[in-house]
Amino acid sequence: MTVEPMDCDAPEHGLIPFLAAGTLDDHERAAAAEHARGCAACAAELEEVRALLDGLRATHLTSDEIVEAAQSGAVVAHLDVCPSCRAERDALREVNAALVQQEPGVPFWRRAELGWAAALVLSVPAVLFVAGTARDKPPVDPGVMRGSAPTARAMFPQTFALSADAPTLLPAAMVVLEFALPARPPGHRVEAELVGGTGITLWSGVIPEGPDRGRLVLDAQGLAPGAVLEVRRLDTGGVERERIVYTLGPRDR
Amino acid sequence: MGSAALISGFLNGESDCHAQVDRWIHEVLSHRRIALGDDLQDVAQEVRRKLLVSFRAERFRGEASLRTYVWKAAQRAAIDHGRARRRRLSLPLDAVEPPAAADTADAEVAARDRRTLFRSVLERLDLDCRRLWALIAFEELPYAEIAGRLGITENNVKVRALRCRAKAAGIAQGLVTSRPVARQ
Repeated sequence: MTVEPMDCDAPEHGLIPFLAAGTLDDHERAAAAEHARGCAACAAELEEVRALLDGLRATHLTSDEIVEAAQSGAVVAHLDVCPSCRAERDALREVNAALVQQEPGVPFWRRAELGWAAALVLSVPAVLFVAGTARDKPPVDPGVMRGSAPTARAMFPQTFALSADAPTLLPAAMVVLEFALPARPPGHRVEAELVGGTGITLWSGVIPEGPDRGRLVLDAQGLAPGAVLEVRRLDTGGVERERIVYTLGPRDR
Repeated sequence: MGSAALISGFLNGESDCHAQVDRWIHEVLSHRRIALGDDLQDVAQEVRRKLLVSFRAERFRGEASLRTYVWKAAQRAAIDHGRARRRRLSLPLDAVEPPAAADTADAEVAARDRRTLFRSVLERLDLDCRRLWALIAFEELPYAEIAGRLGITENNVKVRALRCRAKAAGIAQGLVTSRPVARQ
């Protein structure tokens, strides 16, 4: 590939990238192609642009990568610039949401959360702390709607073998939690609190206005199956109007 | 029925095992967002073929449920099919090449290397160039529309496209020759 564009002062020179991309109208395409046939600089530029276009179009995510991005919510830079890959990822996300809804539940006695429930019971101080915090909260309006089924996804870079007998402390690693937000009428604010598997608050704060999905990027330390993310919508008077509870279970079924 | 028994039955052609796997395949392929239309049965057959190869090679390791494994295979096949269909639609009939006899491992490695190289090029380009070439290469917009999107003149779009092409070439050259390349 040539680094410096070769010189040509003809107005058709600037059309060469779009000639290669196939986005010129008939008149301009004919003029640019005719010019390139007789101009060494533009012919060379055309080859260079074609090489770049071929290379860039080879950067599309593979079907494997699309499937993984749809499932894990992994942040892939290419998705920021490629609407077709984004559309494929979004379509699979919808499919996944529908599949999860029709999947039968895991029998109670096989649920991995059981082990973590035991750990929770043992962490009495933390539970007391959480209970104390809860007592200070204003009473929940009887009109409060419960959120939909948990849909949060945790992206773990590695797979961990969790034992029901002993809590597994995940090593320090970044995780991304993506979750749906409630509709936000004017003046309402949305807050969230993430409580780790042992009852410790890992993060709490206000979700800024903007996208319809929330996203937390945080350290995985202390985040384990049994962790709970609560998303609350508060009205202009600070009264809780809606709450969505997400529970983080095992990584995959 | 457990995963091992289901796979074994599938490989032995037992109808109830095939019916179960088919149900999982169709859970994905019949979703409205997949929109396969008349091609659904062809794609389902391709998924079955791939599962057969995969099960024979013992690639299913039980890290996820068999159902999830089948779902993912169906999703990959649907994506591949959609892309092939779009490619066919965008090419004139006489330009459609016959499919290659077989994908060689060398070709796969070359394609992966190429993908890695140009992803690195894209990442190292400055934001303006990245956005511009994304609009040209991925969204395939005419320069007038790009000018509107970026809020610059059409002439500016043309000049930038050439300059950014040269920058991309410089980055690619640097990466190929393994010289450290600073963000441009």
